Amino acid sequence: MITESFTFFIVVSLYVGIVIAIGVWGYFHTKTEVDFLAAGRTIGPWIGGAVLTATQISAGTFVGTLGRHYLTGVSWIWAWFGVWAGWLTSALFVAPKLRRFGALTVADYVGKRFASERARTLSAALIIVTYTIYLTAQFQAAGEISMAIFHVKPAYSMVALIGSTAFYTIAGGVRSSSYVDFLQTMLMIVGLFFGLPIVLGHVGGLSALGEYLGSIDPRIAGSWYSWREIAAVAIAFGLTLAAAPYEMTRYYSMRDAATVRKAIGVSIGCQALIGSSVMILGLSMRGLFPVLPSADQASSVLASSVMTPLVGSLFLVGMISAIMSSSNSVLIVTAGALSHDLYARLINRRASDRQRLLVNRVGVVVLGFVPLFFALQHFGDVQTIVLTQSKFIASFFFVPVVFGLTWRRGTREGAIAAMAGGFLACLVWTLAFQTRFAASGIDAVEVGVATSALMFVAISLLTPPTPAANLAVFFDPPSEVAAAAVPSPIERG
Amino acid sequence: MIGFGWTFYAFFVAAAAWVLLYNLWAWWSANSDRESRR
Repeated sequence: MITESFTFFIVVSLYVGIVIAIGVWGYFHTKTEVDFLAAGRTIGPWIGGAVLTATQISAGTFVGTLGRHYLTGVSWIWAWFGVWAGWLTSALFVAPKLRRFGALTVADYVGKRFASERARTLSAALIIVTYTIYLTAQFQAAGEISMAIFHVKPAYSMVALIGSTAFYTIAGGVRSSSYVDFLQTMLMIVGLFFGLPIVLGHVGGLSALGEYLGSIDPRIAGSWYSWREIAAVAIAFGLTLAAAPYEMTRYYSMRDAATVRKAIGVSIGCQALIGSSVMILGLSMRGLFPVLPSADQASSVLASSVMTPLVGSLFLVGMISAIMSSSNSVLIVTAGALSHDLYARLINRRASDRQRLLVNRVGVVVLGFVPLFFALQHFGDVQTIVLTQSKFIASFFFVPVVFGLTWRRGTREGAIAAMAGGFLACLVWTLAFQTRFAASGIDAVEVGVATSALMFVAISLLTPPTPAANLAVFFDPPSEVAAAAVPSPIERG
Repeated sequence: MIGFGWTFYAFFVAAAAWVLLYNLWAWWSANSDRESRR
């Protein structure tokens, strides 16, 4: 058993020790809310790229996607192009303007762009609700791993996950999270890099694997899903990534817009490596263990029964890292929304930096425990839960962010209608029509985004435009914005 | 015996092209940003 090996103990102890050390270091370098939520805006392209990768790659990838490849074969891999199209959209239209704006939370953008506290509050509330679903998937994955490898009850491992992730999130905010994310991305890549040759050795190489899988079911080696089905999944991931709050928050911590674009490039490279490796591992597991009780168990069985103790330990730590890093990013966003956008705006407008920091840290703990209840109910497999939250995020946030940053005429009423309408349309379609209309190929995310876009454009055209002062930072050339920000000699007195 | 279909191999080519082209654009645009600021 890998878990009884000395190697596993050493690897895990080293990992935990380094994470704790970074957390403590971050604590002594975090004095203000800007430090906590934006790391003093000092993150460069390489660390930034690793941060975006660690945030993007989650249990959804290591457990869910690997399981999906195990079950359905090759064709799911093309969904990555939807993810990367989302990153490209973000790099072209979202990241430069958001970084130039330089706020602290995503709801800050909504509040400023649409000159509306109501829109800000609604976006903060929807972010908290949707990301609770996302955290549910991460915790459920932690439970699956602990059951399969450690034979420990899921609830215990979920509490351990929340406790350890909350520790370094609370201690150092985005600063220590960024360095832990870098470590975690390296661990994921190293685990996969050393794991692949071992697993391919077990299955006799790629050609033999392809022939064996083709003999089980030709769709596994070829196309399980139709192009229409893959396109629907890719659209859901792409629309979500283009305006994903947990990634957008990390843009604020980087030096400038050019750094963000470079970091996205580094991250896409890492994702391509990880995505390809995860596919091959999932396919190999189908070749080695054709009938597992659950597809989500493929990655745990892989680490514990196929790999050597050292590589298995590295892979397992990589998996735990993927879960921790995504949970940590989500907690930063939701706790930021709670303290910065709800507490400091609605409850205590005179809150000091110290009070906001305290609410932020308490928020991390409270919002970490809420999804625990849902994770224990086991609503579906990990990939399905991740996909569901992706659809909701895209449905309520893609239009206010991407349209809002490219179309000056968008108004506060339009943004509120777009967020509420998109969210509700996605919810109603998912609950009432998804199964009935599945044959037509119309997905909830398409209905949600289309409804959101229609409402945004129609209602914006019927309502007064946003004040020019609010639009300047997003639409005027950077030089004019900087000049406007510098007081004239007369103003200086 | 039937092995992996063309889509399996095509993915690696398409992904490598995407990563390369994106990074060329990102690093080139960062340099041009810097030069335009001078």
